[in-house]
Amino acid sequence: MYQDQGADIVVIGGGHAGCEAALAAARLGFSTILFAISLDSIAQMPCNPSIGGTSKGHLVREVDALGGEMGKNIDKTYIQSRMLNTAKGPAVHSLRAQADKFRYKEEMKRTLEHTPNLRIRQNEIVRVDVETDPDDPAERRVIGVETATGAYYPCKRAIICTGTYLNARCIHGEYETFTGPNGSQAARGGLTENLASLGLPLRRFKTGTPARVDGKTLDLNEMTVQNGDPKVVPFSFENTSEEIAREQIPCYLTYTNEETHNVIRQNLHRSPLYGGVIHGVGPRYCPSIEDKVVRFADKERHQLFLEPEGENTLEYYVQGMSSSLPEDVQRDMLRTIPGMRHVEIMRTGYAIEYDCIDPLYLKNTLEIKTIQGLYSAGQFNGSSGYEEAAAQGLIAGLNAVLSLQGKEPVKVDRTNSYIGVLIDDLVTKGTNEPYRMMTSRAEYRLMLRQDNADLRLTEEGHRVGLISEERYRKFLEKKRMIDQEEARLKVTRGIDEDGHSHGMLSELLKHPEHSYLSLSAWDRERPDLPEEVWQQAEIRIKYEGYIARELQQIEHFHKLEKRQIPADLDYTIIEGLRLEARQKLANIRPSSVGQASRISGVSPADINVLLVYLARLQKEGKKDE
Amino acid sequence: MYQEATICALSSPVGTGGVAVIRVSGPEAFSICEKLIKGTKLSALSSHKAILRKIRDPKNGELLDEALVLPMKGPGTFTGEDTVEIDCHGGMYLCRRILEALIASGCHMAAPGEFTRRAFMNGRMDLTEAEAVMDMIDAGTRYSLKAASSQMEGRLFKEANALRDGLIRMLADIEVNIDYPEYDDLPEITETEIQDKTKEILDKVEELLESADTGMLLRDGLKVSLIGLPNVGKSSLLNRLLKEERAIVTDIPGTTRDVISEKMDLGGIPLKLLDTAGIRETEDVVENIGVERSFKAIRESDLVLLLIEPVAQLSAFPGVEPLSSDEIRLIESEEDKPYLILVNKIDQLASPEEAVSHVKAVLSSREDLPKPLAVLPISAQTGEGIDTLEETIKEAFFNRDLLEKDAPMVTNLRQKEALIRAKEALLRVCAGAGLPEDLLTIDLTEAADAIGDLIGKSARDDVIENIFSRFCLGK
Repeated sequence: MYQDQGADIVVIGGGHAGCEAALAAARLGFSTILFAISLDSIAQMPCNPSIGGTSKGHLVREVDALGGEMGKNIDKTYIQSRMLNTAKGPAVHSLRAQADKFRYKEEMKRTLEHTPNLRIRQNEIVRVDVETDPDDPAERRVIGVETATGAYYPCKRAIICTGTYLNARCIHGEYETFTGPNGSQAARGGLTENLASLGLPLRRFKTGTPARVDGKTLDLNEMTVQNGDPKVVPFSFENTSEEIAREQIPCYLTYTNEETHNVIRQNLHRSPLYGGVIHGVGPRYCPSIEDKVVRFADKERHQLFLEPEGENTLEYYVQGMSSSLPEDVQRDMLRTIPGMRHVEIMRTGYAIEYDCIDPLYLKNTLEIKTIQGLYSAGQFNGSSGYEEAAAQGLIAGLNAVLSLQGKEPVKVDRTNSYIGVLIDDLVTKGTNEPYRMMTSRAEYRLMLRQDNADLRLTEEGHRVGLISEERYRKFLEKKRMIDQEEARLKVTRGIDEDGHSHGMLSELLKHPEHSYLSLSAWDRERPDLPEEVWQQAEIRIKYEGYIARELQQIEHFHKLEKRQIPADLDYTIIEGLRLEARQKLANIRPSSVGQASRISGVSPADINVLLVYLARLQKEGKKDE
Repeated sequence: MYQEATICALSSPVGTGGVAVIRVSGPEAFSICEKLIKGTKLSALSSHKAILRKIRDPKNGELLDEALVLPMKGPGTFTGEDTVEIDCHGGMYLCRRILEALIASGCHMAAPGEFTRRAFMNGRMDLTEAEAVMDMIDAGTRYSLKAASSQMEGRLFKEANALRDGLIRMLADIEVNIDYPEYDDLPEITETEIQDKTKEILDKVEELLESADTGMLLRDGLKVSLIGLPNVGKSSLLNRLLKEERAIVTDIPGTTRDVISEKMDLGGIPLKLLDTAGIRETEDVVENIGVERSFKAIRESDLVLLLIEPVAQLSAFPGVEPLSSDEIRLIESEEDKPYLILVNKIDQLASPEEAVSHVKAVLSSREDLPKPLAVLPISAQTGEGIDTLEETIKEAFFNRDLLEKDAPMVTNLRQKEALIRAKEALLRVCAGAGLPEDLLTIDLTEAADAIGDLIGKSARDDVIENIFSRFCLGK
């Protein structure tokens, strides 16, 4: 074994979480090393070739507002972009882009390579080295990592971002291999055993992906074309629509049919899922096609999307056909589908099982509760999805650095971001399946829009140091213009063509039939403002009533959130707590009463008991002084 | 091993979707359950392996459910005893039928915390948990006393659950289209459907709210004070009423005698007689201290019964008023409190009607006096007129429809407040017609949460659960 000079921060894994973590740390001036089993799979998209979608698009914009990379990278490499849900309210408008997945990872790797303070190493980490305080065996902290090749890298902080690689196993029907996603090498050199020996509660999750098929064997004219939006909204607040405009590539829509379902039913006995070969817990929201056919037996057809994997490839991703059935069954079922009668598979769909941690074992900073300086992010934390991973990677990277700087952790919570919802859900409620973000998980959805992610988070991005002074200045100017326009609309009358007043523009805007644009004729002194400015003013006024109520709820939320719970509180001596609540609280150790109230199995009555107890504790504490 | 009777209970919360688990534990768990699944010998099967069986009522063979039955041999079970779990398809009614059938076959209903207690007694739980277990049993007993006291609550919970299920379902219909916009085959819920469904739920919430007055009175009892001058027969009327009622509950032992009140059930309506000690005391005292004392009772009651003695043969004693000045003072102090005048001792009168009409005449001549709900002739001695008293009270304070229909009723203030919140949220949904549906979900969620407060559930996770159980989605 030889010893490297090491780094402040070590990132284990080069997926979407690892990239954000490493970039954040290095950009803040801390020496950082990113380890990946293969440098060719940095920022790889082993599943769908797209970024964003409902709620996930929100996450990407939030990552961007905090100074992360995902938004910029997809803006560079998208091949189609759409704003979803435009017929619904602004809170649920969601940006989704098809990525050229080859260019996506190439661009991300290039960005990493050009980042000062950042070293990239192809190697597998097999051990996290932890030091125990000789005076207090409960105090443990990370001091280094060891590679499969026997090198030792001292470090102050380490971030585990192993994705679906850790102890991975891929299953296609009767054939299974101990490989990571997309046939890559799995991390099986000892990290699982090492983490288990450190006392981390590991579990096994499962996910899956459909086949990739050869575009020249598809009859695309038998399918419905789906084009991108004419005017593209960029993910990054630093880009404009014009800057990133490009020619887009269509996707295609088709359906399964009874014939497809018969092929599946006849071969169910060969399914590892139904044959008991797979033990990992799969997500409800991405069932395999065999799952769908069994669970929704009366459904006559299932919708499928053919998505190009890139600009310079003929590979198509068959969205909706995730499967772990044997290769020949996958071929036979695909060939029953309109437009796919002669299809040739290029890569077989598969199910993958991997090791991950029970996220209840994490602090809301994403630091592992029992080992100082050891953080984790992404699928290792039980989530699913590139965007969920990137968001956690960014937060873990930032918090690792902030702790070295002796500063407060990044302020993200349920009231200011989907990132906050994601992390709070994971560390407070835990999850029994790979966790996918959904807009319905956010209780303050109207405040957490994709259009105002910069207004919500740029300030914090600036505080932690990832937002440049120039960007910050522009942001403040935008904010000022929005406030000014909102104020103007509240004191300006709408005057029609004949000179009649129709009341204040702000009042007119509240009617569903009016919009900022439709009122332009009645608003003669309207200044020439960028769309992202007047749009904010319009939304604020239009939904004022709902926004005011949501703000009130947020205030209430903060009240409970501010009631801190001492980290060493002994729940066993609190009379009146129910057993289940007592165990859950002692296990999760919430940092505030607010967090405690969101733990499943802790009832409002338990919270009352806790509040009374804390109040008494405080009183007695004062008496002692 | 510590062994006792075989017990059963519902061990999973009853609610939306999912499966309800009935747990049976004890030495006869297997043999009792075998009576419901004729033809299967549970002890002969391998332990901890579920089988699918038809559950029938042993009484008449009626099919109750088809369920997974999981026999588990002790001591490798939660309680350490032989245990059978029956995963039935949920629904209060079915669960209750199965539990009833188990009880009819020899099971006892488990007391709150009893499974846990047995687990502890049988060494299936470590010592450090002992204190927590005792706490839980303690808390459970308090709860059961409260819950057992009213079947009404069971009906309310069922109704609230149904309303909440309706909201959750509607939310899932909306949310699935928000979170999965790319699916063209998801049923799209229309604006009109949202509004219609909301109104339907709103109507039911309002119906429940209307039951609140009756429900709360039924639960807490109508607070009644019995007043009158000394020796008019308050004590005898009290004894008469106590003889009529079916159960006496004396509130909170250890409180001072003079605030003791007694709860009684008068023909199905619970009355809470205030200051019964006072009634007995003042009957013994010759002075008029009863009058002063009565003012306090009046203030605290929902209904005042003013008992008076009729003046016999009024015409024979000119100048004698049917109501004494003290009685007038008592009447004045009623202000806007509902009260009844009971003309006692009619068994001694030739014409009770005359005595009543004398009193009525005085009251109608004095416009300044608050009017009673009625003037009723009664006899504390013979019980005559008690029926009419009962009917009068029912008519004045209770919604007869609800009483007769056995309808679900709101029985306490907390429930009422939750329903008011739900109602307000639903009204906002109606007012928001024309807005995008994702905004309407704000108030629909609030309504579901408010109703959920009645049954201790939060909406968000259930909506997501509902989405995935009903719609086929994913990559």
